[in-house]
Amino acid sequence: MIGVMNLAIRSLWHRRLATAMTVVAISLSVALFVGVNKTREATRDAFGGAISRVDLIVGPRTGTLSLLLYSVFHVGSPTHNVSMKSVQYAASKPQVAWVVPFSLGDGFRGYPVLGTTPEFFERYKFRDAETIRFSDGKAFAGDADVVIGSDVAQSLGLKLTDKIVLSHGHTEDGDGFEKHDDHPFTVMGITATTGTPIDRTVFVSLVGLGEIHRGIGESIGSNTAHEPEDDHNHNHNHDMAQAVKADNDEHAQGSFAEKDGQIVVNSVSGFFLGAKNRMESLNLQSDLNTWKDEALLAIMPGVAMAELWKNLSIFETAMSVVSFSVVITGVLGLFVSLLILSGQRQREMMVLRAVGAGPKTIFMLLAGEAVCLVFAGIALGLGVMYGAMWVLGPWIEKKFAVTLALSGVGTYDLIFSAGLLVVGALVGVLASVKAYRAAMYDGLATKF
Amino acid sequence: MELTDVRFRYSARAADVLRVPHFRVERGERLFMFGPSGSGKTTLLSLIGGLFHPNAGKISVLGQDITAMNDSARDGFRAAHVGFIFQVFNLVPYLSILQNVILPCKFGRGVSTGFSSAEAEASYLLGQLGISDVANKSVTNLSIGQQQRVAAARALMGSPGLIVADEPTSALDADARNDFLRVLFEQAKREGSAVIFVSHDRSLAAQFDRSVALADINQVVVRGGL
Repeated sequence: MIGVMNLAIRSLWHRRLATAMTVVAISLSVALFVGVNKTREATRDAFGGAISRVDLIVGPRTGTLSLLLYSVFHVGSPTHNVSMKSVQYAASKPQVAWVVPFSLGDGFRGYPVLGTTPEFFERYKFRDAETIRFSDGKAFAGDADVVIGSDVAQSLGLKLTDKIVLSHGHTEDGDGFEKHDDHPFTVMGITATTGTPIDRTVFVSLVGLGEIHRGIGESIGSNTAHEPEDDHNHNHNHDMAQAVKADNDEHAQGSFAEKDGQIVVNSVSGFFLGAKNRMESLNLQSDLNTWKDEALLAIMPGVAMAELWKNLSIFETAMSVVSFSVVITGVLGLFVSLLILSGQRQREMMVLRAVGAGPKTIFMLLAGEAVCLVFAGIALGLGVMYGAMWVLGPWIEKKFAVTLALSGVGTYDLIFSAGLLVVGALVGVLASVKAYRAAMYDGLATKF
Repeated sequence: MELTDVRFRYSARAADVLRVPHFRVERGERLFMFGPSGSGKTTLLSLIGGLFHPNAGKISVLGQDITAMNDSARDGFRAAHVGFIFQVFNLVPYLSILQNVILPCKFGRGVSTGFSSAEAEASYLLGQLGISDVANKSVTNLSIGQQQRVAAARALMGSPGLIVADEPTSALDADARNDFLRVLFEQAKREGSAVIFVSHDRSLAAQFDRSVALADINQVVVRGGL
């Protein structure tokens, strides 16, 4: 029994090229499996952690997913608005602790612009009720102030007190520099990285958002005689002198009016709502959903997120199936290489038997080599994967807003690795049965 | 070394391949055994080495009844007291020559008196066998003759009492064969080991104390070769 591991290691070293190839094959499958799993977890976390402590998201009556996608992930654009009257109605309800209205639809050099109130930064939480922090500056106060997400600041090289011009519409380009006659915004705050869509958002006040449209100077005209063209805006405010309509294309970002030179917010894309007691949110939801005056849709972020996740689970399952198949391929590769070897090693096993090696030693040697291979493969695979995550993590986070948790080897990884080690040992033994049987039952016969 | 009423078959339904009423080799004796292929030579050697357990009868080696031992005790006994030399491929390719020679010591073979370590005895034996110059070579770089001498050195390690050689010279040319036998006998004599030497080349028989045909000790009639 002495030195069986020593024998196994020497034997593996003797066939180091084949050993290395087998180890690499296993490590690749392990890296892929762990990587896919990590990505899945990270994606789930990124999605699930994008919004917290908001009891209801209320918007115009559209689909649940569409409301969730544009309000939280800023994907897609709202096509309808919610009147400020509805916002006030919701805010006036005794069960409601706070409401934070928001308007979406404009962009700044590819980043979505969210018009909201400064209260947003206090109320909107992410992950486990984490508050949005500022790495620099503070929340916007005036209507010419802007707060930018960490990604926006980093990729556009913006810092505090920089002046930027927000374009109208969700544009991909536009130089973003101050132009004559434009309404410049001053960077007042830069949010700390959250790993959520907040990082990629530009925040202005609702009035500030209105200023953008006035600055562009489009669609301003008397509205005493007619409604603005898009009739789904519920801005029936006949007191206003001029209506500044958001846009003519499919997206709406709230509507504004100008009165005595002041921007008046008539409607918004939706609002976030916090209940005094979370138990009330179900009642509030049905209350708002059935409100007669305006067709509203109130959704619970958690429930909507689960629905979203259900929709994405097919993709998730497909990824898992693929990565698992790769692991099976790796194990099969191990099996084949050991099987080929076992024929060649009958002689060696017989020699070991002759010098006194017992069945246990032969078994330990064959299984030990397989375990060594699998162990090395797993270690290399995990090393490569975690190394890659460590190196590429910041880039991935920046590029895809997905934070790969580098919290060491997870329980799941450990269970998987242990399972693979057992399977590898079994495969090793199975593949070596021929050599083992030869060693046990052929005696000293010289079969070739 | 003594076999008494030994019967062996490979499986319960198969016919006996070996039926040996009595067969004895004295301590230090050099025995030449011959017989055609498939006559049960290898089976007999496997039984003597304790790799197989007879279906009936008793085998004692160096005065100890190995048929009364359990499997692991028999493996240990073989490691300690029986040295094997095969026709070809005696060596473990991934071990050095020295490691090959001292391999039995990893499984319970002792070191002969007068040597401080297994390595010292291995070096001595390699020297005696005239191949001390190859000790540092890789196993795969040895000629067959050199390989067989390394195998002999391994069999002789620790003066095992019984050396079983299964056609060890059939891959060698005539000069190398005589050379090999000479050094094997020298060392076996010095260490007092009995040698059971199996070969179909009966021209070698003259160099042994005694020669037997397997057909004379095995009552199972061989019907054709394998």
